[in-house]
Amino acid sequence: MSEAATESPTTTTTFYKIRDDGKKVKITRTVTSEFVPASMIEERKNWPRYAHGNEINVSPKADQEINLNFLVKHDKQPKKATVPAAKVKCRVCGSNHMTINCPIKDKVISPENLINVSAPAPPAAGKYVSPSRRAAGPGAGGPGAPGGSGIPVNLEKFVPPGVRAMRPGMMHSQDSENTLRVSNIPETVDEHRLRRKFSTVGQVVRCHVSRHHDTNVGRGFAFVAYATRVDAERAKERFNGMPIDQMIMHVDFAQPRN
Amino acid sequence: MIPIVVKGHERPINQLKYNTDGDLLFSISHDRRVCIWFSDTGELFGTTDKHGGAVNCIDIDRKSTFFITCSTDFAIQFWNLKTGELLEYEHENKEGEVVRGPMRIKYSAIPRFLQIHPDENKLLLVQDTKMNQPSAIVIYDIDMHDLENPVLKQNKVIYPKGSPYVKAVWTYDGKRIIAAHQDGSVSRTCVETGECELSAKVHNDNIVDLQMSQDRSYFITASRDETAVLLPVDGDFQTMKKKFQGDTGLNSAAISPIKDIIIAGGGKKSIEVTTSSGGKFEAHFFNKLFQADLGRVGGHFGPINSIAIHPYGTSYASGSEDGTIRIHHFDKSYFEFDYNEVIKEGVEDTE
Repeated sequence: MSEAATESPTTTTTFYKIRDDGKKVKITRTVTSEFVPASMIEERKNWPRYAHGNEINVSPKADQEINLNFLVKHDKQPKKATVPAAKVKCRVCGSNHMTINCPIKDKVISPENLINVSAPAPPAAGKYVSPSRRAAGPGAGGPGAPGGSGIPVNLEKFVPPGVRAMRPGMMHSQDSENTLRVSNIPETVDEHRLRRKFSTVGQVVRCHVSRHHDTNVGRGFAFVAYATRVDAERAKERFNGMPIDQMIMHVDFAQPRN
Repeated sequence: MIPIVVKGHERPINQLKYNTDGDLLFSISHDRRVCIWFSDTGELFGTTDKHGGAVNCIDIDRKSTFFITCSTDFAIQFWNLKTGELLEYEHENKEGEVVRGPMRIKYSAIPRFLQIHPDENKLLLVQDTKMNQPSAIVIYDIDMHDLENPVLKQNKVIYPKGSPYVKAVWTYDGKRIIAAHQDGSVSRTCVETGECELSAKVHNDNIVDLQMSQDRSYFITASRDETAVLLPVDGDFQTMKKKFQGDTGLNSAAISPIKDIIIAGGGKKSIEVTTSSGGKFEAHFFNKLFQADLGRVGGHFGPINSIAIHPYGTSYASGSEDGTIRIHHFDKSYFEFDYNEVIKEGVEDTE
């Protein structure tokens, strides 16, 4: 049992307890509660300011705004398969050495010579036809045709892959006609989000958000490449002028780089 | 987020501390001055400089009525927060007479660190090894409920077993002390018996900072070996250890009370700055559970000496070797950020 006095800074609580030896004891507890104003913060704001010792003149200044963009690197990204070192193959004899080191290169200096030495005569004018064009080339028999253990020799002038004419089925480069340039997007939008949004229309082959090199903050535009031109056109119709967060996207086909 | 920059000190900042309500921010420095700021606007509330040397440490009571500082001038001083004056107490002078004078306790060694007991009836003090004094933790009984007649009495002295103490903090029950040592080890000491219960080496270099979580059940240490370590108070200091790898020596680390975020700050030593490129004077943000490096906030022109997080977790302040304090109020994107969602997205993306 207990009885408590209320509405007073001093609270007295009395209760009875039976001790181990069977005697009943009265215990009185007096608790003094102290009142602390709830708005102590407000009160402190009105306290007089003081400067003991050397007075200093300080005014708070606002600094440049900082974007607290947490950069999260995923540890679970699949590791890139290591590319095995390209095998060296001699263009003259096909062995594992550089063409310039070929022991028989002096003997096969000209195409005619070469044909005489190592391969049966190719069809037509004897001009070498590269394997990719062979199907369209005259005659069905190439150096690899039955009857000849021919060594393919390409004596055409070397053309770097980037300059070569595009063949059907080749991967599309950045200047592809299926790439959209998405501009006027917030800085915080990242690849995952953009890809998720644009995948609703068609298969997104590539998605790249342009970022500042140092800060990794978005520069406000991105490139989205689709597998087909139809998808890209549909995406342009669908997303041009649509809002993303507080901004309105502008979607157009990307201009070739040059 | 737009940081507020205040420069009230001419020499390096030693420590920053918020009061319990979080409306005041205390800063102490090598220039003998204590500055008190309003944490929301960065306005100056008051300054005092009655110390004779660099101020080493500060602690404020829970009701924000007084604060205690200790300094390299071998003194501990008790201040009234409202007036900025020293408290007065009755004590015996050299002639044995009882006199009333300012509450400035002269000391034989340099007091390096102090902390008020969670029950506010004891005071912990770590003394330095300089001037041929032994390293020790000194515990005082204090009674500051009546600021007119404060009482202070020495209770106990605890000496370290091995390496000297750097900092020491009370645990949640107030019966034990967690102490950081110069050789990178952490120990747990019972106050009642004065015996070291447990000691474990967690760092390869000396520990600079030791801060408790708000409920005092776990703590974080920051070391010059570029790591910060989070450990629970109970336990063997081996299991449940979280290590946060920074990229320079760390001077301070703090635990956010509302989010799973650790903020650690540091930088190259001022001596090494001219001989190497890039000081990395940045505050690192880590995820507390996954130890992931989330990002960093720069802006200082010297190593960050102290980091304090607002008791409500809404802002943090960093003080640097160049004497400036930057108060950062977090904006909406910080509170919306959820690391768990990021992990889920990452898994979906790789699949």
